[in-house]
Amino acid sequence: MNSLVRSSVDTSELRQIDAATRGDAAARHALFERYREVAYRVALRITGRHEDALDVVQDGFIRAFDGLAEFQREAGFQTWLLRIVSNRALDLVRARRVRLAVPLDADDADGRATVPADERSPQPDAALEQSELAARLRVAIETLPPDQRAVFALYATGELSYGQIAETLGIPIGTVMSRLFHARRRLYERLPDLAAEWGVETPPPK
Amino acid sequence: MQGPPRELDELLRALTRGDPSAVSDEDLARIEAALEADPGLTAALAAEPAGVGDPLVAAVGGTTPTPTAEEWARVWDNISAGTAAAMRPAVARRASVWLRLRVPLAAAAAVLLAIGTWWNWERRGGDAWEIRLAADVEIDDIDMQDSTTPVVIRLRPDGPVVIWALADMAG
Amino acid sequence: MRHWQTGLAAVLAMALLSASFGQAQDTSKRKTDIQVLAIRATNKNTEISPELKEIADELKKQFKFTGFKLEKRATGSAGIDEAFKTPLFEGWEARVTPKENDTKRVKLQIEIAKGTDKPDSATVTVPLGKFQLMGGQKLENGDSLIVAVAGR
Repeated sequence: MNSLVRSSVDTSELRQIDAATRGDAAARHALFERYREVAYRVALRITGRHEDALDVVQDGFIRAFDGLAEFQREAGFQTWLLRIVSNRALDLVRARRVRLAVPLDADDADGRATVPADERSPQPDAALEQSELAARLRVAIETLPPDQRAVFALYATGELSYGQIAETLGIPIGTVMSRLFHARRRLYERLPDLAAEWGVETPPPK
Repeated sequence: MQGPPRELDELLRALTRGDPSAVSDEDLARIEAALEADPGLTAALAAEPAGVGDPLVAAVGGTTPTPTAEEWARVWDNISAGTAAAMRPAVARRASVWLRLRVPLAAAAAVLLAIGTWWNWERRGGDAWEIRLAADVEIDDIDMQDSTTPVVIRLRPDGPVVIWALADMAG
Repeated sequence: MRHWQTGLAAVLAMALLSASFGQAQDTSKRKTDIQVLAIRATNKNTEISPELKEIADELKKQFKFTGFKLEKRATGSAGIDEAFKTPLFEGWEARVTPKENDTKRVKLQIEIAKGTDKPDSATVTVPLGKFQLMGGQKLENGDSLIVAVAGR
């Protein structure tokens, strides 16, 4: 196991956080520009909807800035922000009573999630293939239970360590690994053609 | 410092590699137990970047749309308008109310009550309400007001958690 | 003391002692003992109630609060799915409902509410006698409420 040194929050960000705590608009905007993309990706993977993700990001930053006066800044703004964003996104999903874009029994004969016609748009082949893949991934991720979905959403940013995921969600790192394992297994069961393409063996469905 | 046993190390690598077939449910339970027992192992795993080399992560990342500049500008405008610290007015605290006991009757009753209480207290293990925080916590459910976002904050690694209600302070 | 008062006190004590003995015999219906601590967390001062020193040290790892005051400590008991209710301060109330209780751990539903507002609720399973923290509700002067709950 590689032993990497966990990156600590740099001093310039700590100064930005201090200034943002005092209400400095420029500091807040700098933090917004730095972390809006990762917040959006997490929110999108949990909510599955672009506009909902933007709303969650907006709400997340408002609450994060408002809460700065109460929380220690050493953990870093990203952890603080993603903690709020992931919880807010989960709240929205629960409140929305998410229904799958494709009912489970509408899978094709090979058990693959199919893409409804209205998800497609008249595009060149490569773009069409990409949007179909996006839709299939979205549908598959939406089948994950909320706790697995949150862990996977943070994992899929590709920007966090396992420790940061644990800290963001307030769970032990063993729980992160367990939920991630079950999430990936479930996703590959839903996307067996992709698993085969990537050389990932999937255990037989339970 | 010795690393983890070779088999466990291989399991951890398979787990982080994202290969579902290489790790059984029993293996997963072993890994979780090992992480709980070994802070050094936990720290090493915690530092690992998540998702590196995982084709699933690459696929998800490659299919994530990017908000437009106009959308980001709208979001920032709303954030700027929404963050207003709400200074709440100070309110005088209510005076405490003390219950007065009639002395003669109360004195006798209090002594006998104390005997009964002490006996019951001893049976329950004494007033051992030592204020210690729970570290091994399972959160089964959280349900808060619509305007509130619950966040779970672990006070230290594998330590106690606090369930925090983050209220909407805007307006 | 007058004779009738003495007699009344004796009857009262016997009733209490009987209840204590009776409770000891019937362990299958033993209720869960519950303790609730209502804490005011502030950054306006640095006063920490002595009982809260450990909690304060832990909370300071993640929060900027500098003062922690034990506003109320309430002890009671409740059976499974029965609520132990206790007023806190500033109109806040806590309700603790045991859901499960075995020899090592207890599952508690913790609700914090003010007036008729929908309560903030969490259900947790914790070791017997160890406190779980829940809070963040804003108090009238901007301080924060933290509630610590334990069951055994």
